[in-house]
Amino acid sequence: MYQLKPLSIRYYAIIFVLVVMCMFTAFGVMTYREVEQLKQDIHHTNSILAAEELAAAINSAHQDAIEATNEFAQWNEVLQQINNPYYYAYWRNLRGIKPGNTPDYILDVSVYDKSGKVLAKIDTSSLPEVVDVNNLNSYVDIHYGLVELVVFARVLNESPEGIYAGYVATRSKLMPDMINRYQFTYIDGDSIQVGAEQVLSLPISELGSHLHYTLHGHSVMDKMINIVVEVLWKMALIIGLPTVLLYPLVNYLISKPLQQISSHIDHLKDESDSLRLPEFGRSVPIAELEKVRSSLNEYHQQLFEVHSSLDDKNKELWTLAHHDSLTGVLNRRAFDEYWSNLNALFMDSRFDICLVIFDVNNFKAFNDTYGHSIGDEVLKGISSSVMQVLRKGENLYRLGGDEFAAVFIDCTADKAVRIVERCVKSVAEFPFSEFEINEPVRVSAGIAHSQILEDSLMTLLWQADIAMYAAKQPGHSHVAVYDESMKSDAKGVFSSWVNHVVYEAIDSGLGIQMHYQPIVRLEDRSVDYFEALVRIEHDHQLIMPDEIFKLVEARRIETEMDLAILGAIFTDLEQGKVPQGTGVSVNVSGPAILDTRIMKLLMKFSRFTNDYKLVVEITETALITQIDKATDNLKRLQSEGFYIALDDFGSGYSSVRYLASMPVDIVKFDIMLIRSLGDESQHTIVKHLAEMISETGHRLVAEGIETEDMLNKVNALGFSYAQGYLFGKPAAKPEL
Amino acid sequence: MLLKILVIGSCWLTTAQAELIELKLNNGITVEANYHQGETGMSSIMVLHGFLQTRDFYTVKRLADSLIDAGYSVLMPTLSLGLNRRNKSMDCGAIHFHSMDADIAEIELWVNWLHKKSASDIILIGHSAGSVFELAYLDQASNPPVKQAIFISVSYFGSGPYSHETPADAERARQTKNELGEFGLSFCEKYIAPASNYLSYYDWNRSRVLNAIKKQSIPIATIIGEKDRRLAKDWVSVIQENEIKVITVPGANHFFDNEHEFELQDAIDELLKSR
Repeated sequence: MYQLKPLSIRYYAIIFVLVVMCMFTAFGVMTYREVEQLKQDIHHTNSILAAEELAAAINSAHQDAIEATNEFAQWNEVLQQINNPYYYAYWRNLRGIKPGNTPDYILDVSVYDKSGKVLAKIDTSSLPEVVDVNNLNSYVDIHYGLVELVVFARVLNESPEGIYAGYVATRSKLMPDMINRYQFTYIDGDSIQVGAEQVLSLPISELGSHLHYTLHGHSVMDKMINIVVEVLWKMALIIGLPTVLLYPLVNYLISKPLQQISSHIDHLKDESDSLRLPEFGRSVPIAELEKVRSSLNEYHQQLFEVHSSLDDKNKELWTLAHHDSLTGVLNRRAFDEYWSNLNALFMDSRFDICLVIFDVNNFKAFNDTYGHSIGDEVLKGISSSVMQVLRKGENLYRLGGDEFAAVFIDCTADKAVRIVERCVKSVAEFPFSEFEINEPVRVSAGIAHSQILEDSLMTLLWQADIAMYAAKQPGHSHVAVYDESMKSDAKGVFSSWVNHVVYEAIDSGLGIQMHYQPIVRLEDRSVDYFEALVRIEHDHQLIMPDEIFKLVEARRIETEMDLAILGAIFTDLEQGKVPQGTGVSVNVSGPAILDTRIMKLLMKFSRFTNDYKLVVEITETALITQIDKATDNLKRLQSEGFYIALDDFGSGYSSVRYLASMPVDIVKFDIMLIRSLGDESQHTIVKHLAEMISETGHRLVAEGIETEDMLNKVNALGFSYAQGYLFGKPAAKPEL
Repeated sequence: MLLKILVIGSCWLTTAQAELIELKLNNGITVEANYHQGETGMSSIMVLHGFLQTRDFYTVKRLADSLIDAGYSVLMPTLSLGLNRRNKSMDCGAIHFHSMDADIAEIELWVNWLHKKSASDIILIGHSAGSVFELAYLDQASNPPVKQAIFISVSYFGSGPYSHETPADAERARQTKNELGEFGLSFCEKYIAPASNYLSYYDWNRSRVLNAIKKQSIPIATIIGEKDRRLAKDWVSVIQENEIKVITVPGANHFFDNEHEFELQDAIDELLKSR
């Protein structure tokens, strides 16, 4: 369904104003047209009424003239004149037309005897000298715009015969005097006129047709119409003005504040990253909007407080998340973010950049020898020593364990070497003796340098790692800068694809392939059990344990690797890959036996103890720091039916002192000891060792038996088991 | 007598005893009078108005009303002055065709009518010039049926404090004989009349009035307001010097306005009863 786009309230105000104006204009036009029509109708009616009114006015004037004439005729002085006309002319001039004796509009009077003859001829009189006694009808004289009315009347004689004593005539000023006395309603009295050049006499009944006039301009209707029009204009003003004012009013009171609030909200949205959001400071005139404004500000304030609190928490969290709790320097996460930002920041730039990786020499030994607490103090001392040397803006990152990193921007390799050497020196000068450490604490540093960031950043870490590895090699100084020659030396360990494959194998088990090498009983040369040896297959290539474990040790991912290997063996056992009646030995490093996850997984193998001889080969016992816990775990395994074998005995990784305390069933002599049997003195030592261990009830396994001669020698030394190519190479499918 | 008495009728006026009396003169003019029949045994009195006035003039009308109230039969004529059924005061500016003789004739007509009506001698009361007209009647009538005359504010023509006639007017009138002329007469500054008619009034001057009064055999008394400015200051004393009875009303003017109306009535009443 189509949805209208919301409009600004200003547009609604404009639409409202336009609608009101249009409606009022339409109403005004309609009303005005109706009024005009009414005006025309009234004008027509008024015209008719005006004609009637004019006739009435003429008739009224005529009646007045008749009345005045009759009154004049009844004046006793008139009869006196008829009876004695001797002084008529004198009387007519002095009394007859004297103001007061007759109305003002009477211009002339004349008295006639009973025969109709004027009593005396007067030159100045405009009235006839003789009247027709049989026709006393009034008539009108029109003379150049003047209209005069001549009226006759009989003078009564009181004689019983009924003969009139005489007659009188009056000439009245009909227009304008008499007509104008009439209260006209429809006619403008001042406008009544006759043709200026007309000179004629006519009956009064015909006068109306000779008069021209205009209708009254101030009739009630005209006033009413004017009032209506005036009311319309006033209404237009009353409605229009507020309506027009409505727009700026709405604009000022609602639209503008709403826009300000809206803009403010948009601004807040744009400034959402800002901790301190701007307040909507200006008050608005509408209470509800003011409430919105104040609420918004209060909300802002609360949001700011929450924001501040969150920011503090974030900072704290960020600090916790990005700092190493032990040393206080930035941690691996901070390094990764920094590295990622650096990558993005210098994507298209060319800078000299150096990545340095520090690693503590033989740190594991410090831990094992002096305990973790001392090891921690060593790490703190190293980090503080390095930090003292680093310049402003340069950070030290603890990548994990005893491995630290630093990045130098716009720094050549030579310059980086000088800085790092100072760091190494600073570490060397740190008073670690305070922690009762007798051995000198040294760090090795690998430096990777690049000018082409885009590609280099991806590999700088790997290069620095290789350089650091090289720096640790005997004969090297403690600081090494990566060069291409190191790449081939460290190929097995640090080739990027091996890294990838190993990590992939650990993560998903992909490519892990267990090979099993038989360990035979020397008494009948039958296979007692198989040692599970890990391979990682990648692209039809097998990565061998030497490569795998160099990397695993370098990356400190022994436990994760052990878990992956145990998983693969478990699967093989489940699938019956190993012939029943034999057994399987699995290699577990000394520290790993302390790991709960390893133990948990090993305990799952107990289900196979009925069908298989399961041997746990402990390597690197010298690295076991918690011998008691390790012993407990091994005893638990023993109780579940496992055999415990001490691997690589004599290589230096296995400590003889643990042999007595640890519940070991089998002791595997290191291949170097077996090979040394050719040497007479060595043979004696090995012989005594074998006899000593055999006497304590341990069974002995000789590794690396490749010839019958070697077999005979170990056989003579009392070894119970032997392992080597003479009996079989490690194979994916173990065969008896 | 030029006049021929023609009683054309009468009609009742506002009260049962009052009636309008109309008489027609020989010249066709109708004259009118109000008549009120008084109590039996009471005298009949004719009250006559002043110069150019009518019977409705307030001084005479109030006096007549008081007489009627006293039980007298009262006749109040209006002199025609040449006009048919004259009922308004005549303008000074009108053409005055009337004369003293015509007035005397009309008075004689009404006196006779009243005498005939009452069957006894009557009493004449006149106000201002009306007194002169009645005196002129008495002066020339032989055995008029009149037993008493009371002249209120009696005046005379030919002179006076407020009179406009002059000897020059009279001289001019005498020379023009019967021509129409414009003169001064009494309170009229312009009095238009035939000269002979004018002189008929003008000649009734102070001495002629005094002589005429003195000549009468009937009791004649005069009543004059103390403050009558229309009369000469010496007029009262002159009348008294001629042994004519004069009652002077203190403070009254020529018309006995206001409270002097009652004093006039009291004086009249006293004169009538003293007879």
